[in-house]
Amino acid sequence: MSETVALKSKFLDDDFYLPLLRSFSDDLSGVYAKLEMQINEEKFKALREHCHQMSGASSTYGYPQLALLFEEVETLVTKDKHSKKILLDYLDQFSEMFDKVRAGIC
Amino acid sequence: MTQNTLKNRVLVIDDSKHIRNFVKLVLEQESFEVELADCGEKGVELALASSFDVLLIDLRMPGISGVEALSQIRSSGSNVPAIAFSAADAESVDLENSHFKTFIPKPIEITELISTIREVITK
Repeated sequence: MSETVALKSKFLDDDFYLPLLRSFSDDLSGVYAKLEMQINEEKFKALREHCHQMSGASSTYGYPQLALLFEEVETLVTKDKHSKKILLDYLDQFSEMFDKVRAGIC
Repeated sequence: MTQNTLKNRVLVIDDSKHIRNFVKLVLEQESFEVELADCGEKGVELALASSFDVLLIDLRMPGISGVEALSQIRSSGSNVPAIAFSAADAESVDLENSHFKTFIPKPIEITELISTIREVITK
């Protein structure tokens, strides 16, 4: 079984920000569930807004790779170049990325 | 004079809980007093109900936008200075016509956030 590679925030070494980073990491399960629901129920406008919001939050919290992933989905939906299959593939990528963020906090 | 009366008061209006919490933590560390609103409607209500030294308003929110929120605040006679923040490019933000003093891009850089707020308050 391969070990999850940790994704570390640029703020991780500063204890001042640790509670915020933990809170962000703890919320990722809920973020995943919301993304999954929005894709499965084809609520694309809500999905676009959610991805926009999470992209800004991820970059501010020092996770540019995660921000980029959210931005890609936001752009796909904005340009109407999405399909359910493509978005479900992204859901897998989000799951992996969220695991990496959690691994970085532990 | 209490400690609180010496603090500059900032109202942060943003639909992202993570952004609100981040900005609050950073600004309180710098001795600002921070109030939070999670949408434009609530932001307008708070801005008109209390006194602030500066408003920090996200441009893109569900419900009323940051531009609309500030427009409603101005229509009610408040001239409190306001700063826009957004993931959009600075060039795409019409600061003059929307009554914002300036613009802070996302991702938020802490030093820029603090210096911009101080600059706007002292002007």
